[in-house]
Amino acid sequence: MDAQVENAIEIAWNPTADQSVKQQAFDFLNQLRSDPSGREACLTLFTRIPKCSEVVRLVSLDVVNNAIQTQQLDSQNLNHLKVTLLEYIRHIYGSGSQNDIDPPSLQNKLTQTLTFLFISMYKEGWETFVDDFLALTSLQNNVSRDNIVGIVLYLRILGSIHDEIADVLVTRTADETKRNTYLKDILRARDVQKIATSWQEILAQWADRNDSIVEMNLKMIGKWVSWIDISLIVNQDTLNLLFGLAGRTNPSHREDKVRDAAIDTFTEIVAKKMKGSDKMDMIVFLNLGDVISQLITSPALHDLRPTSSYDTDLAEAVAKLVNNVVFDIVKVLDDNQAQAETRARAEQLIQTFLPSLLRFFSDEYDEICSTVIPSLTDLLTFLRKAKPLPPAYSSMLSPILNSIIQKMRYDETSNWGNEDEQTDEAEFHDLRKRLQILQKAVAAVDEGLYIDVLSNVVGNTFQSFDSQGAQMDWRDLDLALHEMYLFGELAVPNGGLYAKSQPSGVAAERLIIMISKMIESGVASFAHPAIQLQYMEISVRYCSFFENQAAYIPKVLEDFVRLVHHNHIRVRTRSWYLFHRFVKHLRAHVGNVAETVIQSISDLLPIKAELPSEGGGDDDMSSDESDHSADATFNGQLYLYEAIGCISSTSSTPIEKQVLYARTIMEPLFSEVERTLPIAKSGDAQAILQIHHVIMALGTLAHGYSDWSPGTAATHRAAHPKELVEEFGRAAEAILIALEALRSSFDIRTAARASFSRLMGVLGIGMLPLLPRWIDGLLSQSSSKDEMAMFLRLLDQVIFGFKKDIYSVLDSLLTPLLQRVFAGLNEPITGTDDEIQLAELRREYLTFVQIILNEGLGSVLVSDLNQGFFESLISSVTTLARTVSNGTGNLPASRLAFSVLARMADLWGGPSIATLSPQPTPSTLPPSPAFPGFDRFLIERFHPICWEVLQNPQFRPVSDAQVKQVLNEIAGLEQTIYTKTGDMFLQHLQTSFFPSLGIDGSDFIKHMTTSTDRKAFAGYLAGFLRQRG
Amino acid sequence: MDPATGEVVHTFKLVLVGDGGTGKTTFVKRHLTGEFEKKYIATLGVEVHPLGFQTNLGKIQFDVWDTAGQEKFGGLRDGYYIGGQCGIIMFDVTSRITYKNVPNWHRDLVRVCENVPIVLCGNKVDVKERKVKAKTITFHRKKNLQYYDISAKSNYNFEKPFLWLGRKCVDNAGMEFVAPVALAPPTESVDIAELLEANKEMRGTDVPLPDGEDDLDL
Repeated sequence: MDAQVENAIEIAWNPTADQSVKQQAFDFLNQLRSDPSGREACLTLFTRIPKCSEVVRLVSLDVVNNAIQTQQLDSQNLNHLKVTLLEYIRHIYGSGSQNDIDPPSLQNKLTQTLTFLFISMYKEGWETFVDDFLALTSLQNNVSRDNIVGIVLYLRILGSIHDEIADVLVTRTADETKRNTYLKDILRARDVQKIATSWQEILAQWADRNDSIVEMNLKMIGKWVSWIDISLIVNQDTLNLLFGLAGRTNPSHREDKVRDAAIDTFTEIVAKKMKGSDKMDMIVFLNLGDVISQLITSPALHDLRPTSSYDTDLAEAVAKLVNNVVFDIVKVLDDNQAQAETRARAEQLIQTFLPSLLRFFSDEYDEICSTVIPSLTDLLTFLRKAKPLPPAYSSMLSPILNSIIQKMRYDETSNWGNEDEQTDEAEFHDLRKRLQILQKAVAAVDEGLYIDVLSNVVGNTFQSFDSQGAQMDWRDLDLALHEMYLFGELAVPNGGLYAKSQPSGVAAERLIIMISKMIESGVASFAHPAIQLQYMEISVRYCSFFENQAAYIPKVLEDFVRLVHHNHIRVRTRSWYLFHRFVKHLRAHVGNVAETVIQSISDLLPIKAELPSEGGGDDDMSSDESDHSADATFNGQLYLYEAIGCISSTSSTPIEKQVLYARTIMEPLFSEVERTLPIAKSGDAQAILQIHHVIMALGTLAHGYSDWSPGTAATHRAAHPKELVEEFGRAAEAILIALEALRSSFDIRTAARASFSRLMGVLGIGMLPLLPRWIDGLLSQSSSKDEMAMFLRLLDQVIFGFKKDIYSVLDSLLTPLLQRVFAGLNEPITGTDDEIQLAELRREYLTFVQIILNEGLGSVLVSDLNQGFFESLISSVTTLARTVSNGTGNLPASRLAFSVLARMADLWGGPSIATLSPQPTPSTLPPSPAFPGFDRFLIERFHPICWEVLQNPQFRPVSDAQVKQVLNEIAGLEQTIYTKTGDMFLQHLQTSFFPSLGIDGSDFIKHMTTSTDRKAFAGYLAGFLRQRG
Repeated sequence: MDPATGEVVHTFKLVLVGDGGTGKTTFVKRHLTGEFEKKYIATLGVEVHPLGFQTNLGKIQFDVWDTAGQEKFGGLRDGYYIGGQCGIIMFDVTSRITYKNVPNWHRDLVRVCENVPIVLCGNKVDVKERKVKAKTITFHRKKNLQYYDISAKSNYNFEKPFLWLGRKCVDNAGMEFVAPVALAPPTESVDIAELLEANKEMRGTDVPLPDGEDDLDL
């Protein structure tokens, strides 16, 4: 059997083995895992001498491990394993000979087996587990720890046991956690003391003689210290050994893993959970202040810091230690329950450790800086709560803030916008964000300090720029501008720098000075893309500055029209957006500058559609910033069109100029349509996209014009002078021609729909005559339900905006429009997406009818032109009302439909002839509906639907919120029918309706007539439904 | 030795581990030359992909042992790790459980491959519904691993893990990749054909082509 197993493993391992043989080998090995004789064979294979190959032995042990782990073994089996392995281990590792020992991989695998045995047998069956392996560390009688191979195996076992039962990173089941707690308890009682002593002895014996053993030993201490008695480690003998290792220097300036491990051990010791007072005592006892200062001044961290031999591993290790120490100190400071003596200690300690903290925080290496950010954050959070701030603390703030600002600066080796360094840059941006949080925390503690320091940094930078000019390091300018950008969070919390023409506060006042200096300094001409981009970002962010300082606008506009031509694509594309934001916000202040601006940027306006390259489309992980596709360029161009629209329609631009500018911009676009349309008609994808782009540009330009005073609805009727309306009427015409020719293209319809609502802002009522053509184009044969729904939403806005004015247009187009919609509603659905779209379309359709009714246009539904369609309309609404089965959106649609029916009943049912009251008085008046027969219609058509739904077994459960809403509407409709038709309705119910159902309806009638609000009546209906089950 | 140039190639065994479905195979298949030279072991076994990189210090190659399909049962389990000189542990940022299991993979890996450089990779960062936030990824700091966000689908950061491991393996922080790696999807399919031709010429025999279904993930 041994040979068979060995053979199978070799085959499975061999990359060139025959496939079918290999399959057999796999099957055999998988079978082996549940076979006792296979397990025995594996044990033999592992312990056999001469040894098998590494892979055979490793896989063999894995089979054994698997058996222990899955609890296939009884105590006899386990004992057999223990005896066999212990015998093997004593034989191989007991003599101290290096020759026969297993390679590290197999030692670890063996260690894993032993760990599983430990878990199963330590409590009972192998009580001497630790003793047995500890004995292996000595060659004779435990006198000294002199067996290197035994020590290594022993330490490996300790590490593996810790990882298995105490490593907090591993997620475990509740049972495993319980088992582990138990094992730790036995260990503490039985062996931990011995183990701690052994570590001390091993350190004493091998310090300066065998680094790898010492390092391993230190790591074990670091692991175990988290769950054993601290005094076993924090005692003078062990500490002396640790100090010696942590402080040791090596002349070669090589990295020293032992020293790093010793410092990590301190970090682990400090991280151990204990009472605050004990922790402070320990930090003092460990003398960590001195230890750390000495490390900081050691050559590795001090003399070599500016060189490439700087020991960053050591720096990170010490930074981690400092972080942990400060974290604990702040915890005590923050603890209101802490005793005065403990607190005093902590106060003293924070003064000791702050310089070390800032030393690492300021490190050139961001990794090292990041290591201490958590504890610095904690410290600042504490300071923020301590009010008033004691002087001892306030003096800390300024060095902290200065360090933060220094870290905000791009360091000397870094660059901006370099494709190859994108990751580095992203990491730096991330660091900046974290620094910003710290900076804000400082401001929250002492706003005055923050304002002063930052004003100085920015002020001094512009001063240096005055004297140095182009010689200045861009990084300094970038820092100042970046800080200015952030400063607004304090200076303009509510968006305004000014309140009633006065600076809104001290911070705002300083920021206003900074902005003036920035513009005056001419930094916009500094030849670095980062600076130019920041300049524009700041100008946009602090737009409100210019409202009060209009004199600065021409200069900044001039900078903008230059920078929108930037040769760096990232700056250029972003600048288009920023330019648009700038002029849009300041259109009331820029004055009559359109001509100059148009002249300066007209070269950027020509549109050139580019089809996305095959396959490459979505492949790049592009964020907005790095998206340099043709699509992104076009989207940027749209911003330019809108900006031109804004700037051309300022109140200081004479109307004839406004028209002229619009024409200047649109003329080339019209020619483009003329040129491209024939090609597009033939189906050329590039030409279609080109038309799409042109339509978008025309709409966006109109949008710029229309948005002329904030707060005015875009559909406001009396918006624009006739000349302008005429001019943009040509744009509408061009778009319609394109749409009519290319209505089968989804993209064209999308663009036209977008432009429709934008043109509305300029054309106002002038849009109405064109409406039938828009509808014809936008609701083509190939329009999806989604598109119809979107278009109906758009029409809702139109109706809302124009109200009565739209009556005649609506009257003429309602029937054809609804025919299109019905076609959409009746299309068979395939799949979930379709179902969702249908639900959406139903909702939009019903909302559309509702808006017509609510805006006083209801008579259009029964006009001469549409009367013929009325029956179809009613039956579609009633069908939707009665559809309450469990499908997507059915219940919300039913609710809307019932509310539409109630609205109709209310509108056309005539005056109320019955009242709802606890004591109903019989009405004597006959119903007088708006058109004859509608009273009968209500009773014979609307009312039965209510009962159809109430009796539908799928209309459940009553506790469902959507069901409740439908019930509310039903109650409302029934009550409306009653108030409009009075006795006529009651007669019908009593003599005809309820008898035919075989129901006693007296309760129903009582509640319907006496409930003064529909909620109460709906509550009755709910009870009625519940009763019926 | 590179059969084409006769240049000495430093080769390192790289063990690629992580939960099933985290995208290990997709990741390794992005490297086109490796994809075409990979050696099939068995449907149940590992695939070994030789990924070559041109560096300023000469050519290096990672023999990537992709243990795909081996995660849960059967096979040789950690037997495949033997002789590993570096490792990549992969998890899926859209699946928390795959990150939770990282400590287990790490333990299994370092048990067999002690003290080898290891990179932790969070894959599928292109997916919008990211579940494992960057902030929660801390395991690498505790174990001194290097971490990279990657997206096997879009090749994002594809080379980063290899560059970092390469520098560690040759013990030279100044090592740089000097030639772009051919990554799928190639924009010109001609290149693939050319590569195939070149391979044939180099060996003088037909290189076994990947099976039909094993396409290039285009």
